[in-house]
This record gives sequence, structure tokens and C-alpha cells, in this order.
Amino acid sequence: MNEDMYRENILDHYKKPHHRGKMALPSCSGHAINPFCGDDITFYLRMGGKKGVEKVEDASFEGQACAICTASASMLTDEVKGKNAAAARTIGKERVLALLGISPGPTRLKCALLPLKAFKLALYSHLGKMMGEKEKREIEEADEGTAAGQAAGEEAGK
Amino acid sequence: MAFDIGKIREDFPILSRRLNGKQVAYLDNAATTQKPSAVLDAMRNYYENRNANVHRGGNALAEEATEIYENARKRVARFIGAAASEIVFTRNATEALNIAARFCTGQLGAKCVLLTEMEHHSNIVNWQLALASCLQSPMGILHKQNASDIERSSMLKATQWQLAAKAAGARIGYVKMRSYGKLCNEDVEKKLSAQQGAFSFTHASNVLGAVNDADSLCRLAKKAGALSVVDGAQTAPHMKIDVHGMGCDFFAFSAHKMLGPTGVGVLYVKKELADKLEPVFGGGGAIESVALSGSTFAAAPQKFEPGTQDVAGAVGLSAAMDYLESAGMDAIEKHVSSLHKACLEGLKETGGVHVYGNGNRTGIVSFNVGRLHAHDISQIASDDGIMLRAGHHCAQPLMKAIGAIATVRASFYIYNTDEEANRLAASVKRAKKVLS
Repeated sequence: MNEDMYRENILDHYKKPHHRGKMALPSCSGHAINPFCGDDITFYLRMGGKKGVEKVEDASFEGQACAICTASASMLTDEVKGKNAAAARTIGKERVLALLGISPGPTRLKCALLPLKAFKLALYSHLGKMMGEKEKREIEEADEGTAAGQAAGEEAGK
Repeated sequence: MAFDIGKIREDFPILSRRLNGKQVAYLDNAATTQKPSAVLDAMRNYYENRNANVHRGGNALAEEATEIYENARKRVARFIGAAASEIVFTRNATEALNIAARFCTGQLGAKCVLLTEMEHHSNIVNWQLALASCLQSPMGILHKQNASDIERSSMLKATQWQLAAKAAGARIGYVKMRSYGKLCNEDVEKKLSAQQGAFSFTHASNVLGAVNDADSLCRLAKKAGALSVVDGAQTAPHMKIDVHGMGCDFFAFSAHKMLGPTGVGVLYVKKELADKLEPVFGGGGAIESVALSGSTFAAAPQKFEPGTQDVAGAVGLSAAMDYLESAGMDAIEKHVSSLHKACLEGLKETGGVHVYGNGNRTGIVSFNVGRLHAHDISQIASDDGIMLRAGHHCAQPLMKAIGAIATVRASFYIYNTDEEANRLAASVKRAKKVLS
């Protein structure tokens, strides 16, 4: 069932992640956490191009996460680099799972999609736009309970 | 009866399941336990041959069902050294703790509550909500038609009880924990002296496994004039409980963590309190008489159990207790302790494993492996047929205190074996190899 979760491409990205670390002078960043397992990803983007035709010039991430989440973040930096904003916006759940090459169960789906959430938060903060409802649902689908968990986390922290 | 592990395992049909072609090693017993055939048979027999609504109607079947239900209550009472009238059936330990919190902060007037750093969320959030609801709750603002968005969002951000507490001078304090998972008794005394209305603590941490000295903690509470509420979810399955000897006012636990069915829990309420408390929930079966202007309640414990109860669940819990006592609580504790030891030895040999706390009496082993993520360890173990739990275990303040975001937890019970402990060590070894 899950025997192939730790396939070679995932382990490669996990052990040697691409674009790990905060970049100098990012245009924007996005932060997402999954309090259930402690995955914590910040995505950084350097944007270029004029307003309306923005382009992702560089991407990086940092944070603590499991193998699936780390690999997903690493692959996503490769994927978005060089894309224009309009194309980068269309990256969704299916694309991330295709990059990873797995179909995780509901628990690990959260791990796989957390970097996508951080990336989109970064992108939309730069574009000054709100994430579309449908788009949000797709990411949040794997994120059910996270909002509540975050609230509990904040509360516990006080 | 001698403790025969081979025979015990035969009583649990699920243990013969295979996943991924591997025999299931179930090591998530602190979350929930498996059910022996005796429990399943008892519940099925109840539904097939005895089912009727209890405490209602004079028909012969209803009388029989009532007797069965009340016998289950007596069984539970015997198991924890209580009187039957002190046993209230609930849905689970969480609900029991919520009801206890409502009693304490409501009718019993506790406005200052002392908890500990090692509580499960179910013994923190219940108090926050109970205090909020009895203190002119600002929660009402959320539903207020004309509340501004700013008003609403600030309400949502702050926890409700904190706002209520500020307004009413109520507070929740927390006793510090030592690193190996026991409470600091001096801190208990110091904090109890500050006029606490109630002291609620877990008998054993669900993460660290270490058992608190409930007798002396309850004594300290009594000396300070505070009510004592004990979360026994992790101890009732593992050791002899004597609530009268302990001297607690309330004691909560769940059936499903001790071979019983899900959906049934127990709240022990000390007799003096049970007699005078009014129910938190009202409804049929819990009253003496109802008039349009008001109602009078039945005697304890019926007054605390409105509506049709989970009779089959109570029957299942009773059968589970029969099963546990026939195996012997002392023998179970010894067996679990030896598995705990075997597990620690296996993990130690693996190298790079950090174990938190000491759960030798509750069979809990919480650990991390180097910098590897807890989820990855439990996933790989799962691929090897070994069921673990990874995460914060619904105890975020405790996790903060031990400085870990997540841990892997293995928890052993009556049907586990040394071989399973060894399989765990081998799987952790494999995980290390795969991931580094």
C-alpha cells in the first residue's frame, strides 16, 4: 500500500533538497504549518517582470518537515522557477502529486500539499490578490483540521 | 489463572490480520485497544436476546435489560473500588472530564483551577470552556447580530475563556513537570496554596507514560480545600484503581482503552457530591417529576444519565473488566512492564534513539530518532506492519515542555509480545537506513 512512499526520487529530494534556505532579498514569502506533525515550511520567491506579467525569478524554502513534505517543497521550487505568475498560479494538487509520483492517504496528503500552500500564500501576497475559493478548497481539502489545530497551537503557546 | 500470552492472543481476532503481507503488530494501545471475542459476544448477546429500554416501562424484557445495565454499573464500581451510585456512564473520558469541569466551575463554584503541564487537551480545553460558559461568556458576541467584524475576529483570536477570565478574575494555573514526566510536588503545594477551587491532573501522561502519585496529589488538594479531578484514561487499563483510597472527588476513564467498546466512558463522582449536584444535561429517565414550571431529579446516578444510554456499551465494558481481572491486573502490569523493558533495550541497541519519560507501568515508549521526523518513522513502521502513533498526541503544552514538536509513540498492552518489541527495533533500524 505505502511500500513505495519512500521511492528514490522522494528520498533524493529529501536528502539533498534543492533551493533550501532563505534567499537574499525575497520579494515575498509564505508560511504554512501542520501542527499535527510539526511540519513547518516557509516559501520564498523573488519576482520579476511588470505588474500584470510577473515572473518567478527565483524560489527557495526553509523549515522542518518530514520526508514527503521536504521532497514536495524541493520539487516545487524547481517547478515554479522561471514560470510566469499566471502559470504558477495554476499549479494544484494534481501537479504536486504527479511530481512526487505517489498517491498518499489523507494523513500524508497534508504533508505533500503543505509546501503548495506556503508557495501560494507567498505568490498571492506579492500579487496582492486573494486566493480563489476553489483553489483554496483544493489545498485546504488536505488541510481540514489544520485551522483548528493552529488555533489550539496558538492557545497552547500562550 | 496463569498468564498465557498464546491463549490471550487467540481471543483477539484482529491480531491475525495481515497488512502489506505482514502480520499486524498493534502498538498503539494508548490510543485505543483491540477487543476480545468475549466483549464482542457479550454485546451481540445483549442485542440479540436482551435488548429493551432501561429504567422505563414495566415489561419483563425492560426489567431484564435494566438489571443487566445496573449490573454493568456494579461491575465498573467494583473495578475501581467505588459504590454503584457513584458511577456515571458517559460517552468517553473526554465527556466525563467535561462534565466534571462543568460541575466544579458551575455548581461547586471553582473559579480558579489548577492543571498540569502534562495534560491531554481533553483536560485543558474542557476547563477553558467550562469557565467561559459560567462566567458571562463573551462567546455570545460571536452570535451577536450587530457585532463588528473587528469585534468578531478579535473574539475568535483570543480563546474565549481568557476573555471571560479577565472579566471575572478566574484563572487556570499549571503545575510544572519534571523532565522524566512526573509532577514537581513542591510546585503543586505552592500553587495549591493560592486558593484553587479545583485541581485536575492526569494519573499518567499519554505521551510520557509516567504515573503520578494520585493519592498524595488528592491529599494535597484536600488539604488546600480544592476539589480533585483525576484523568485515569491511561491508568485504569493498566493497574488496580481504588478511588476511595485515592480520595479523589472525580475520576474519569474510557472503555475503549481497556478492551471495551468505543462510545462508553465513566465518570466517578464521590457520593457526597453526587447526591447534591444537579445534572448538566436534562431529559427523560433522569427526572423524578416534570412540570411546566420546573423539574425534580431522580437520585444519583440516574439523574446524570438522561436519554437512552449505551446499554450494550456498558455490557461490553463490563465484559472487558471481567476479561482483565481474569487475566489479573497484577499479571498484566508485570507483562506490560517487561515489554516496556524489551522495547527500550531494542531501541537502545539501534542507536541514536532518544526516549522521553518512563512508561514502565503504562507500557508507553515515546521516542525520536536523531533528527528524523516522527511521521517518517511511523510510516516506515506501518509499512512493516507495526502500528504506532506519531505527532503531538493531543498534548501540545507537554510537547512544548519537553521541547519536541512530535514524537513516535509505541504503547504495549496485554496481547503484545517480545517479538513485536523486537520487530519495532528492527523497523526503526530500517527507517534509519532508508532515510539517511
